[in-house]
Amino acid sequence: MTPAGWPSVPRAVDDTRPREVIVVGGGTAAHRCAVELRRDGFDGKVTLASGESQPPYDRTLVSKDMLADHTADAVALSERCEYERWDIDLRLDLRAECVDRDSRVVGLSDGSTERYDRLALCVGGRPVVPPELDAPGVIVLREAEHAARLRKGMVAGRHLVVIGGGFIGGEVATAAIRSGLRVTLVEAAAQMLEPILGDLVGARVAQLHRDNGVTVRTGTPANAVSSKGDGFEVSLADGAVVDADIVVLGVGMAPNIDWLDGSGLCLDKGVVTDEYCQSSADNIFAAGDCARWWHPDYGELCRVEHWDTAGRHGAAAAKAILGNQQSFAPLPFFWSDQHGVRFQWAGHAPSWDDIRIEGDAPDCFVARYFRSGRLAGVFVVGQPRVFARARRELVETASTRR
Amino acid sequence: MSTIPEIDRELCIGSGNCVHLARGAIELDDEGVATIVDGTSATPAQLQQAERSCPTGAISVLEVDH
Repeated sequence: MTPAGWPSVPRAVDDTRPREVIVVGGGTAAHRCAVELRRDGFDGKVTLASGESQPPYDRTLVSKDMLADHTADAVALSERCEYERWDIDLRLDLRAECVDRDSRVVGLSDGSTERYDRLALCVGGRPVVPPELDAPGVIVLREAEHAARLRKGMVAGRHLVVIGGGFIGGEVATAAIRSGLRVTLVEAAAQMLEPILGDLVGARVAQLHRDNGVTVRTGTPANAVSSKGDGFEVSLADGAVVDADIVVLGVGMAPNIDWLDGSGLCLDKGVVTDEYCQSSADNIFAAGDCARWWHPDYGELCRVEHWDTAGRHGAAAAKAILGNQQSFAPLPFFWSDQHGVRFQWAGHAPSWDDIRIEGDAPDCFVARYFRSGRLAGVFVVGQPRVFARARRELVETASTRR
Repeated sequence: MSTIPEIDRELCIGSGNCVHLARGAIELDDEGVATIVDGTSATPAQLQQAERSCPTGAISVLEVDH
Protein backbone atom coordinates (compact mmCIF):
# COMPACT_ATOMS: atom_id res chain seq x y z
CA MET A 1 0.00 0.00 0.00
CA THR A 2 1.44 3.36 -0.92
CA PRO A 3 0.66 6.73 0.62
CA ALA A 4 -1.73 9.05 -1.19
CA GLY A 5 0.10 11.47 -3.46
CA TRP A 6 2.88 8.95 -4.04
CA PRO A 7 4.59 9.27 -7.41
CA SER A 8 2.12 7.73 -9.88
CA VAL A 9 4.93 6.42 -12.04
CA PRO A 10 6.19 3.27 -10.35
CA ARG A 11 9.62 3.73 -8.91
CA ALA A 12 12.30 1.71 -10.60
CA VAL A 13 13.09 -0.45 -7.62
CA ASP A 14 16.73 -1.33 -7.66
CA ASP A 15 17.12 -5.09 -7.52
CA THR A 16 20.89 -5.12 -7.59
CA ARG A 17 22.65 -6.13 -4.42
CA PRO A 18 23.86 -3.08 -2.52
CA ARG A 19 27.56 -2.82 -1.87
CA GLU A 20 27.59 0.35 0.22
CA VAL A 21 24.99 1.43 2.73
CA ILE A 22 25.13 4.74 4.53
CA VAL A 23 23.05 5.13 7.67
CA VAL A 24 22.61 8.72 8.79
CA GLY A 25 21.62 9.39 12.39
CA GLY A 26 22.77 8.86 15.95
CA GLY A 27 19.89 7.26 17.79
CA THR A 28 18.33 3.85 18.18
CA ALA A 29 16.93 3.65 14.63
CA ALA A 30 20.35 4.34 13.14
CA HIS A 31 22.07 1.95 15.54
CA ARG A 32 19.64 -0.89 14.92
CA CYS A 33 19.71 -0.35 11.16
CA ALA A 34 23.48 -0.61 11.01
CA VAL A 35 23.70 -3.58 13.37
CA GLU A 36 20.86 -5.48 11.74
CA LEU A 37 22.50 -5.13 8.34
CA ARG A 38 25.41 -7.13 9.73
CA ARG A 39 23.29 -9.55 11.76
CA ASP A 40 21.36 -10.31 8.56
CA GLY A 41 24.58 -11.14 6.76
CA PHE A 42 25.34 -8.01 4.75
CA ASP A 43 29.05 -7.94 3.99
CA GLY A 44 29.32 -4.71 1.99
CA LYS A 45 30.39 -1.37 3.38
CA VAL A 46 28.32 0.07 6.23
CA THR A 47 28.84 3.65 7.38
CA LEU A 48 27.02 5.08 10.38
CA ALA A 49 27.28 8.87 10.37
CA SER A 50 26.06 10.57 13.54
CA GLY A 51 25.94 14.27 14.31
CA GLU A 52 26.68 13.62 17.99
CA SER A 53 30.12 13.31 19.54
CA GLN A 54 29.50 9.94 21.12
CA PRO A 55 28.19 6.67 19.73
CA PRO A 56 24.42 6.03 19.88
CA TYR A 57 23.17 5.79 23.45
CA ASP A 58 19.92 5.26 25.32
CA ARG A 59 18.28 8.63 24.78
CA THR A 60 15.34 7.80 27.03
CA LEU A 61 17.65 8.20 30.02
CA VAL A 62 18.41 11.85 29.16
CA SER A 63 15.26 12.92 30.99
CA LYS A 64 15.42 10.17 33.62
CA ASP A 65 18.57 8.75 35.23
CA MET A 66 20.86 11.32 33.70
CA LEU A 67 18.99 14.08 35.53
CA ALA A 68 18.68 12.19 38.78
CA ASP A 69 22.20 10.96 39.24
CA HIS A 70 25.31 13.10 38.99
CA THR A 71 27.39 10.07 38.07
CA ALA A 72 25.09 8.75 35.33
CA ASP A 73 26.84 8.75 31.97
CA ALA A 74 25.16 8.01 28.69
CA VAL A 75 24.50 4.29 28.25
CA ALA A 76 26.03 3.36 24.91
CA LEU A 77 23.84 1.00 22.88
CA SER A 78 27.00 -0.74 21.63
CA GLU A 79 30.59 -0.08 22.63
CA ARG A 80 32.97 1.38 20.06
CA CYS A 81 34.87 -1.90 19.85
CA GLU A 82 31.71 -3.60 18.70
CA TYR A 83 31.38 -1.29 15.70
CA GLU A 84 34.94 -2.35 14.84
CA ARG A 85 34.08 -6.01 15.34
CA TRP A 86 31.13 -5.65 12.97
CA ASP A 87 33.17 -3.59 10.54
CA ILE A 88 30.73 -0.67 10.80
CA ASP A 89 32.47 2.60 9.99
CA LEU A 90 31.24 4.75 12.88
CA ARG A 91 31.76 8.43 12.10
CA LEU A 92 30.84 10.99 14.71
CA ASP A 93 30.27 14.78 14.68
CA LEU A 94 29.08 14.38 11.13
CA ARG A 95 25.74 15.64 9.88
CA ALA A 96 24.20 14.98 6.48
CA GLU A 97 23.54 18.29 4.76
CA CYS A 98 22.21 17.36 1.32
CA VAL A 99 21.33 14.43 -0.87
CA ASP A 100 21.73 14.08 -4.62
CA ARG A 101 19.31 11.32 -5.52
CA ASP A 102 20.44 10.99 -9.11
CA SER A 103 24.13 10.63 -8.36
CA ARG A 104 23.42 8.79 -5.12
CA VAL A 105 25.66 11.03 -3.12
CA VAL A 106 25.16 12.46 0.36
CA GLY A 107 26.94 15.67 1.34
CA LEU A 108 28.31 15.77 4.89
CA SER A 109 29.07 18.56 7.33
CA ASP A 110 32.85 18.17 7.02
CA GLY A 111 32.59 19.13 3.38
CA SER A 112 33.00 15.58 2.09
CA THR A 113 30.62 13.62 -0.08
CA GLU A 114 29.93 9.90 0.12
CA ARG A 115 28.45 7.68 -2.49
CA TYR A 116 25.81 5.16 -1.47
CA ASP A 117 23.94 2.27 -3.00
CA ARG A 118 21.37 2.56 -0.24
CA LEU A 119 20.80 5.44 2.18
CA ALA A 120 18.95 5.09 5.47
CA LEU A 121 17.70 8.36 6.95
CA CYS A 122 17.41 7.97 10.72
CA VAL A 123 17.96 11.57 11.68
CA GLY A 124 15.23 11.87 14.27
CA GLY A 125 13.96 15.25 15.32
CA ARG A 126 14.88 18.43 17.12
CA PRO A 127 13.14 20.14 20.01
CA VAL A 128 10.74 22.87 18.97
CA VAL A 129 11.90 26.23 20.31
CA PRO A 130 9.31 28.97 19.77
CA PRO A 131 11.19 32.26 19.25
CA GLU A 132 9.29 34.03 22.04
CA LEU A 133 10.52 31.44 24.54
CA ASP A 134 14.09 31.34 23.29
CA ALA A 135 15.96 33.40 25.86
CA PRO A 136 19.73 32.74 26.28
CA GLY A 137 20.23 29.89 28.74
CA VAL A 138 16.84 28.24 28.28
CA ILE A 139 17.36 24.49 28.21
CA VAL A 140 15.96 21.90 25.81
CA LEU A 141 16.54 18.20 26.31
CA ARG A 142 17.59 15.97 23.50
CA GLU A 143 21.18 14.97 24.00
CA ALA A 144 23.42 13.77 26.77
CA GLU A 145 25.13 17.17 26.99
CA HIS A 146 21.76 18.85 27.60
CA ALA A 147 21.15 16.53 30.52
CA ALA A 148 24.60 17.30 31.90
CA ARG A 149 23.93 21.03 31.63
CA LEU A 150 20.57 20.78 33.34
CA ARG A 151 21.84 18.48 36.05
CA LYS A 152 24.57 20.95 36.92
CA GLY A 153 22.03 23.67 37.50
CA MET A 154 19.66 21.55 39.57
CA VAL A 155 20.70 22.82 42.99
CA ALA A 156 18.29 22.31 45.89
CA GLY A 157 16.22 25.37 46.63
CA ARG A 158 16.33 26.81 43.15
CA HIS A 159 13.14 27.40 41.20
CA LEU A 160 12.80 25.45 37.98
CA VAL A 161 10.05 26.26 35.52
CA VAL A 162 9.33 23.65 32.89
CA ILE A 163 7.22 24.77 29.95
CA GLY A 164 5.25 21.89 28.52
CA GLY A 165 3.25 19.25 30.33
CA GLY A 166 4.14 16.33 28.13
CA PHE A 167 6.46 13.46 28.93
CA ILE A 168 9.62 15.51 28.91
CA GLY A 169 8.04 18.10 31.15
CA GLY A 170 6.75 15.46 33.54
CA GLU A 171 10.10 13.73 33.81
CA VAL A 172 12.02 16.97 34.29
CA ALA A 173 9.59 17.98 37.01
CA THR A 174 10.11 14.58 38.64
CA ALA A 175 13.90 14.85 38.65
CA ALA A 176 13.87 18.43 39.87
CA ILE A 177 11.54 17.70 42.80
CA ARG A 178 13.75 14.75 43.75
CA SER A 179 16.74 17.06 43.79
CA GLY A 180 15.01 19.45 46.16
CA LEU A 181 14.13 22.23 43.74
CA ARG A 182 10.92 24.21 43.68
CA VAL A 183 9.13 23.26 40.47
CA THR A 184 6.47 24.96 38.40
CA LEU A 185 5.12 23.20 35.33
CA VAL A 186 3.26 25.25 32.74
CA GLU A 187 0.93 23.63 30.23
CA ALA A 188 -1.03 25.45 27.53
CA ALA A 189 -3.81 22.85 27.28
CA ALA A 190 -6.52 22.38 29.87
CA GLN A 191 -4.66 19.46 31.38
CA MET A 192 -1.22 17.84 31.21
CA LEU A 193 -1.06 15.34 28.34
CA GLU A 194 -4.56 16.37 27.27
CA PRO A 195 -3.86 16.39 23.52
CA ILE A 196 -2.61 12.80 23.71
CA LEU A 197 -4.65 11.26 26.53
CA GLY A 198 -7.63 13.53 27.10
CA ASP A 199 -8.54 15.69 30.07
CA LEU A 200 -9.70 12.97 32.47
CA VAL A 201 -6.38 11.15 32.35
CA GLY A 202 -4.53 14.43 32.10
CA ALA A 203 -6.15 15.61 35.33
CA ARG A 204 -4.89 12.53 37.15
CA VAL A 205 -1.38 13.04 35.88
CA ALA A 206 -1.52 16.65 37.02
CA GLN A 207 -2.75 15.45 40.42
CA LEU A 208 0.14 13.03 40.69
CA HIS A 209 2.50 15.94 40.13
CA ARG A 210 0.71 18.16 42.65
CA ASP A 211 0.76 15.33 45.21
CA ASN A 212 4.53 15.34 44.78
CA GLY A 213 4.94 19.06 45.28
CA VAL A 214 4.94 20.38 41.72
CA THR A 215 3.02 23.60 41.08
CA VAL A 216 1.05 22.73 37.95
CA ARG A 217 -0.42 25.60 35.96
CA THR A 218 -2.63 24.42 33.13
CA GLY A 219 -4.75 26.21 30.57
CA THR A 220 -2.15 28.89 30.14
CA PRO A 221 0.59 28.93 27.55
CA ALA A 222 3.85 30.69 28.24
CA ASN A 223 3.92 33.82 26.09
CA ALA A 224 7.48 34.89 26.62
CA VAL A 225 10.69 34.07 28.45
CA SER A 226 13.23 36.79 29.10
CA SER A 227 16.50 36.96 30.98
CA LYS A 228 16.38 38.61 34.37
CA GLY A 229 19.57 38.90 36.34
CA ASP A 230 20.98 35.41 36.70
CA GLY A 231 17.63 33.86 35.94
CA PHE A 232 14.52 34.32 33.89
CA GLU A 233 11.07 35.84 33.85
CA VAL A 234 8.35 33.66 32.36
CA SER A 235 5.22 35.50 31.25
CA LEU A 236 2.06 33.44 31.06
CA ALA A 237 -1.02 34.08 28.98
CA ASP A 238 -3.17 34.38 32.12
CA GLY A 239 -1.17 37.43 33.07
CA ALA A 240 1.05 35.82 35.68
CA VAL A 241 4.76 36.47 35.63
CA VAL A 242 6.92 33.79 37.17
CA ASP A 243 10.54 34.20 38.17
CA ALA A 244 12.76 31.20 37.52
CA ASP A 245 16.36 30.18 38.10
CA ILE A 246 16.12 27.54 35.39
CA VAL A 247 13.76 27.27 32.43
CA VAL A 248 13.33 24.02 30.52
CA LEU A 249 11.34 23.81 27.31
CA GLY A 250 9.48 20.62 26.52
CA VAL A 251 6.98 21.76 23.94
CA GLY A 252 7.43 19.10 21.31
CA MET A 253 9.76 18.15 18.54
CA ALA A 254 9.87 18.46 14.78
CA PRO A 255 11.43 15.95 12.40
CA ASN A 256 14.93 16.87 11.17
CA ILE A 257 13.96 17.17 7.53
CA ASP A 258 14.65 20.82 6.66
CA TRP A 259 17.94 19.82 5.07
CA LEU A 260 16.01 17.59 2.64
CA ASP A 261 14.09 20.49 1.08
CA GLY A 262 14.98 20.50 -2.57
CA SER A 263 16.13 16.88 -2.53
CA GLY A 264 12.99 15.84 -4.40
CA LEU A 265 12.00 13.41 -1.67
CA CYS A 266 8.34 13.31 -0.70
CA LEU A 267 8.25 15.16 2.64
CA ASP A 268 5.08 15.75 4.66
CA LYS A 269 5.63 16.23 8.39
CA GLY A 270 8.41 13.68 8.00
CA VAL A 271 10.11 11.62 5.33
CA VAL A 272 7.17 9.80 3.77
CA THR A 273 7.68 6.09 3.20
CA ASP A 274 5.59 3.10 2.27
CA GLU A 275 5.07 0.21 4.69
CA TYR A 276 8.50 -1.14 3.77
CA CYS A 277 10.40 1.95 4.91
CA GLN A 278 11.13 3.00 1.33
CA SER A 279 10.92 6.70 0.53
CA SER A 280 9.65 8.15 -2.72
CA ALA A 281 13.18 7.76 -4.07
CA ASP A 282 14.40 4.28 -4.74
CA ASN A 283 17.45 3.44 -2.66
CA ILE A 284 16.54 5.90 0.10
CA PHE A 285 14.88 4.54 3.24
CA ALA A 286 13.77 6.23 6.43
CA ALA A 287 13.15 5.04 9.97
CA GLY A 288 12.59 6.43 13.44
CA ASP A 289 11.27 9.82 14.54
CA CYS A 290 11.93 11.46 11.14
CA ALA A 291 9.90 8.93 9.19
CA ARG A 292 6.20 9.08 8.38
CA TRP A 293 5.33 5.65 7.14
CA TRP A 294 2.23 3.95 5.79
CA HIS A 295 0.98 1.75 8.61
CA PRO A 296 -1.00 -1.13 7.07
CA ASP A 297 -3.07 -1.82 10.20
CA TYR A 298 -4.26 1.75 10.58
CA GLY A 299 -4.54 2.65 6.91
CA GLU A 300 -2.82 5.98 7.35
CA LEU A 301 0.55 7.64 7.53
CA CYS A 302 2.05 7.53 11.02
CA ARG A 303 4.95 9.30 12.64
CA VAL A 304 5.65 8.53 16.26
CA GLU A 305 8.30 9.67 18.70
CA HIS A 306 8.69 6.41 20.56
CA TRP A 307 11.99 4.79 21.45
CA ASP A 308 10.72 1.22 21.10
CA THR A 309 9.14 1.87 17.70
CA ALA A 310 12.28 3.64 16.42
CA GLY A 311 14.53 0.67 17.21
CA ARG A 312 12.18 -1.76 15.47
CA HIS A 313 11.91 0.69 12.60
CA GLY A 314 15.68 0.78 12.07
CA ALA A 315 15.77 -3.01 11.98
CA ALA A 316 12.89 -3.07 9.47
CA ALA A 317 14.72 -0.59 7.24
CA ALA A 318 17.80 -2.83 7.31
CA LYS A 319 15.73 -5.79 6.14
CA ALA A 320 14.15 -3.74 3.37
CA ILE A 321 17.58 -2.55 2.26
CA LEU A 322 18.67 -6.17 1.92
CA GLY A 323 15.58 -7.09 -0.08
CA ASN A 324 13.94 -8.99 2.83
CA GLN A 325 11.26 -6.39 3.28
CA GLN A 326 8.45 -7.02 5.70
CA SER A 327 5.51 -4.79 6.32
CA PHE A 328 6.34 -2.50 9.25
CA ALA A 329 3.26 -2.70 11.43
CA PRO A 330 4.36 -2.25 15.03
CA LEU A 331 1.98 -1.69 17.89
CA PRO A 332 3.08 1.75 19.08
CA PHE A 333 4.37 1.66 22.63
CA PHE A 334 5.94 4.18 24.92
CA TRP A 335 6.58 4.56 28.59
CA SER A 336 7.50 7.26 31.08
CA ASP A 337 8.64 7.25 34.70
CA GLN A 338 7.22 10.05 36.79
CA HIS A 339 7.45 10.37 40.59
CA GLY A 340 8.32 6.70 40.91
CA VAL A 341 5.32 5.58 38.86
CA ARG A 342 5.59 3.89 35.46
CA PHE A 343 3.25 5.11 32.74
CA GLN A 344 2.81 2.78 29.77
CA TRP A 345 0.93 3.28 26.53
CA ALA A 346 0.18 0.85 23.73
CA GLY A 347 -1.91 1.34 20.62
CA HIS A 348 -2.92 3.95 18.08
CA ALA A 349 -5.56 6.46 19.09
CA PRO A 350 -5.05 9.90 17.57
CA SER A 351 -8.73 10.36 18.36
CA TRP A 352 -11.26 8.34 20.32
CA ASP A 353 -14.99 7.99 20.85
CA ASP A 354 -14.89 6.66 24.39
CA ILE A 355 -12.49 6.32 27.32
CA ARG A 356 -13.07 3.89 30.18
CA ILE A 357 -11.01 4.29 33.33
CA GLU A 358 -10.59 1.73 36.10
CA GLY A 359 -9.02 2.72 39.38
CA ASP A 360 -9.33 5.96 41.29
CA ALA A 361 -5.79 6.76 42.37
CA PRO A 362 -3.63 9.10 40.28
CA ASP A 363 -0.73 6.65 40.62
CA CYS A 364 -2.64 3.46 39.82
CA PHE A 365 -5.24 3.22 37.07
CA VAL A 366 -6.02 1.89 33.60
CA ALA A 367 -7.54 3.94 30.80
CA ARG A 368 -8.87 2.20 27.67
CA TYR A 369 -9.45 4.19 24.51
CA PHE A 370 -12.11 3.07 22.00
CA ARG A 371 -12.63 4.00 18.37
CA SER A 372 -15.79 2.81 16.64
CA GLY A 373 -16.42 0.45 19.51
CA ARG A 374 -13.03 -1.24 19.27
CA LEU A 375 -10.18 -1.02 21.74
CA ALA A 376 -7.60 1.25 20.13
CA GLY A 377 -5.22 2.11 22.96
CA VAL A 378 -4.46 1.58 26.61
CA PHE A 379 -2.73 3.82 29.10
CA VAL A 380 -1.73 2.10 32.31
CA VAL A 381 -0.27 3.76 35.36
CA GLY A 382 1.55 1.85 38.06
CA GLN A 383 0.63 -1.69 36.97
CA PRO A 384 3.13 -3.28 34.57
CA ARG A 385 1.47 -6.70 34.61
CA VAL A 386 -1.97 -5.25 33.84
CA PHE A 387 -0.33 -3.33 31.01
CA ALA A 388 1.22 -6.52 29.64
CA ARG A 389 -2.21 -8.15 29.45
CA ALA A 390 -3.89 -5.09 27.95
CA ARG A 391 -1.17 -4.81 25.36
CA ARG A 392 -1.68 -8.45 24.34
CA GLU A 393 -5.40 -7.71 23.98
CA LEU A 394 -4.48 -4.94 21.53
CA VAL A 395 -2.11 -7.17 19.59
CA GLU A 396 -4.94 -9.66 19.13
CA THR A 397 -7.32 -6.87 18.08
CA ALA A 398 -4.80 -5.61 15.52
CA SER A 399 -4.20 -9.04 14.03
CA THR A 400 -7.93 -9.67 13.54
CA ARG A 401 -8.10 -6.46 11.55
CA ARG A 402 -5.67 -7.74 8.91
CA MET B 1 28.93 -13.50 44.45
CA SER B 2 27.48 -13.64 40.97
CA THR B 3 25.01 -11.57 39.04
CA ILE B 4 22.14 -13.52 37.57
CA PRO B 5 19.68 -12.00 35.11
CA GLU B 6 16.07 -13.12 35.04
CA ILE B 7 13.48 -12.28 32.44
CA ASP B 8 9.76 -12.06 33.14
CA ARG B 9 8.30 -13.37 29.90
CA GLU B 10 4.88 -11.91 30.65
CA LEU B 11 6.25 -8.37 30.87
CA CYS B 12 8.67 -8.57 27.93
CA ILE B 13 7.52 -6.86 24.73
CA GLY B 14 10.60 -7.73 22.72
CA SER B 15 12.01 -4.20 22.57
CA GLY B 16 15.48 -5.66 22.26
CA ASN B 17 17.50 -3.00 24.11
CA CYS B 18 18.86 -5.79 26.29
CA VAL B 19 20.19 -7.75 23.32
CA HIS B 20 22.71 -4.99 22.70
CA LEU B 21 23.31 -3.81 26.24
CA ALA B 22 23.82 -7.28 27.71
CA ARG B 23 26.49 -8.11 25.13
CA GLY B 24 25.53 -11.61 24.11
CA ALA B 25 23.86 -12.67 27.34
CA ILE B 26 20.33 -12.14 25.99
CA GLU B 27 18.66 -12.82 22.65
CA LEU B 28 15.07 -12.63 21.44
CA ASP B 29 13.58 -16.08 20.87
CA ASP B 30 11.28 -17.13 18.01
CA GLU B 31 8.34 -15.46 19.74
CA GLY B 32 10.28 -12.21 20.06
CA VAL B 33 10.63 -12.65 23.83
CA ALA B 34 13.96 -12.03 25.54
CA THR B 35 15.70 -15.09 26.83
CA ILE B 36 19.00 -15.65 28.62
CA VAL B 37 21.43 -17.45 26.33
CA ASP B 38 24.64 -17.01 28.30
CA GLY B 39 24.40 -15.32 31.68
CA THR B 40 28.19 -15.11 31.97
CA SER B 41 28.97 -13.16 28.82
CA ALA B 42 27.97 -9.78 30.22
CA THR B 43 29.44 -7.98 33.21
CA PRO B 44 27.25 -7.14 36.22
CA ALA B 45 27.31 -3.48 35.18
CA GLN B 46 26.12 -4.37 31.66
CA LEU B 47 23.34 -6.54 33.06
CA GLN B 48 22.28 -3.70 35.35
CA GLN B 49 22.19 -1.36 32.37
CA ALA B 50 19.98 -3.84 30.54
CA GLU B 51 17.71 -4.00 33.58
CA ARG B 52 17.52 -0.22 33.78
CA SER B 53 16.87 0.27 30.06
CA CYS B 54 14.12 -2.35 29.80
CA PRO B 55 10.96 -0.39 28.98
CA THR B 56 8.65 -2.80 30.77
CA GLY B 57 10.71 -3.81 33.79
CA ALA B 58 10.93 -7.38 32.53
CA ILE B 59 14.58 -7.84 33.51
CA SER B 60 15.67 -8.42 37.09
CA VAL B 61 19.29 -8.72 38.03
CA LEU B 62 19.90 -10.70 41.18
CA GLU B 63 23.07 -10.71 43.24
CA VAL B 64 23.59 -14.20 44.57
CA ASP B 65 26.05 -15.33 47.21
CA HIS B 66 27.61 -18.69 46.54
